Amino acid sequence: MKSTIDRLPHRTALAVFLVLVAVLPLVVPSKYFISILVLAGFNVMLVLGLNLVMGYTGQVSLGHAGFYGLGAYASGVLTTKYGFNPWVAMGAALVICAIASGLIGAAALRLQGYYLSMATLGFGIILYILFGELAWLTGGPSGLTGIPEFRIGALRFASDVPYYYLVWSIVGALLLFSFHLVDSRVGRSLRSIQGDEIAASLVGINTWATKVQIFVIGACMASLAGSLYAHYVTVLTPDSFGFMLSIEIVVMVIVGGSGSIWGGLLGAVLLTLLPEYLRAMKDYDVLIYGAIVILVVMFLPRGIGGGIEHRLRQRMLARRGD
Amino acid sequence: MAELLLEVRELRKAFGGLKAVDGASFGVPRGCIKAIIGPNGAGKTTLINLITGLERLDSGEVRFAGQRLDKLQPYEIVRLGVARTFQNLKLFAEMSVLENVMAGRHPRTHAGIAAAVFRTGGARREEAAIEADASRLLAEVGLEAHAHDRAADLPFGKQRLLEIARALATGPSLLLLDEPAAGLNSAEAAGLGALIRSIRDSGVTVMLVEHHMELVMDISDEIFVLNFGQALAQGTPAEIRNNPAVIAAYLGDESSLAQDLRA
Repeated sequence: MKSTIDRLPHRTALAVFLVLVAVLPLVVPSKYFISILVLAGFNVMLVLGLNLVMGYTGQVSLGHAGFYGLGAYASGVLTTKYGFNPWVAMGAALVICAIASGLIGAAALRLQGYYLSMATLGFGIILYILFGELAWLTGGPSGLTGIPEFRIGALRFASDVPYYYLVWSIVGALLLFSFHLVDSRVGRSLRSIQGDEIAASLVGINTWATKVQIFVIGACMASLAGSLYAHYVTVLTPDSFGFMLSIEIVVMVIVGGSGSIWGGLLGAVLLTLLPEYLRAMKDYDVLIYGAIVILVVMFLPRGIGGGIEHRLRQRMLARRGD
Repeated sequence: MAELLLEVRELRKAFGGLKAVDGASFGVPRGCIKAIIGPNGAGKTTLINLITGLERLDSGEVRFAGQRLDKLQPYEIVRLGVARTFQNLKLFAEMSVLENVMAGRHPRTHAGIAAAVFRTGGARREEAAIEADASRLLAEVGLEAHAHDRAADLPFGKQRLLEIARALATGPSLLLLDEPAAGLNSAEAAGLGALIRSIRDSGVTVMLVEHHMELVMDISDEIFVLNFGQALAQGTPAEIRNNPAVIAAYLGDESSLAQDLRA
């Protein structure tokens, strides 16, 4: 039976996209550009996770950078202070982040709307302060140094191009994960909760448990991004995980397209590249960045990618209607 | 009398000083259509909210197929087989009509996160079954042509039908309808009556709260009259029409209920 669900060919698009990602370093030999795309990859992971929580389930978390920092510091501390292998440390960080986000989510997700945002904001700030104050463990404001890089046998992920492939392979896996998740019984539950939480509970969805689950998944993606960041830059300072980053991730989700996976990807990449190219504008870069964000929100309420996806879907439905 | 599927005993619920439900007791026999009527503010919607777990009762008990409902969460009550609709519609507005009904299949299906992410054979088969079931239900309420419309874009009367289809998708043995005819024109109301009958005939017990007397008198097997949170009368439509207490309570009252009773 041919499915009657309105599915865009996401998996085909993903395959094409990943081929582009794979050949990009061959055609664009700029090391600087590749290093920026590595950073963009971290942001994509953060945005993918937050988009599940915020764009699909409607729960606005303002503490997402906290889980990024937790993943990074867990990886950094376990490798430098306890001699963990970086890969093992990444896995351990994931477990730590899952437990922390499960506990935070279980409490905070009883709250709604602004109260949830405030609770997660507070949590993010507490973590940020801990990264600075627990100097015996984290190195404090002067930084945690000497974090080892990833290795597979003789292959060292120290330079930009191998790291680019490592990061974007994981991004590819997380994209596939997200596409499968949102287009499923679970994804429908998430969108039901966003649509009307009371109605969701009355079609038998345990809304609280579902929200906690997706919050943990979002935090785990942030943790992965954090670990990858730690073993890339090899030096961590608390400033990389402050409140402003949480806001920037939210902005990336909105500008790209809340509730659109491609949109989130686009938002993360564009808003990572933009400041780099606006740097030439000297002091005006922040102004221009702000203006672009405002214009997108005003004229593309679904975000850049969300708007494109919506248009494609309309066209597909119109064609079916003929 | 047939076995009682739903039993409500001595139910009480106050909001501050207002006694919304004040000691009401009644039963809904399996396989029938039972209407709860009463003037505005009689506590009818509160009654449905108490049965479905959206409000906590102060005292009394609610039993469904012998099992206590009043300590359970709404999602647990749905899983036991009690579905409902809302007077002021609660659809998933941004989702398609079909997806709304598919969401209703949640309590009768299982695929979790791992099954979804790995697209297991079981998850794929289940998803196809969910879609087939939802399409069939849409056809039953006459919305198959709107399957791909955004739920919010449907006209009001069709949104009501969609909500009924979504409630039926949860696989209920008891369906609670909160003023299903409100806002419908007379042709739509007549169609609704036929639909409610066919739902009962398919084996789902129906309890409805309704102001539309013509519909109530036409389709109900039993009527329970609620007034100021208390039982006023109970019986068949013919008995209610001729019940002195009901007539006395509504005589001189220019509400539509009184007018319809006199008609």
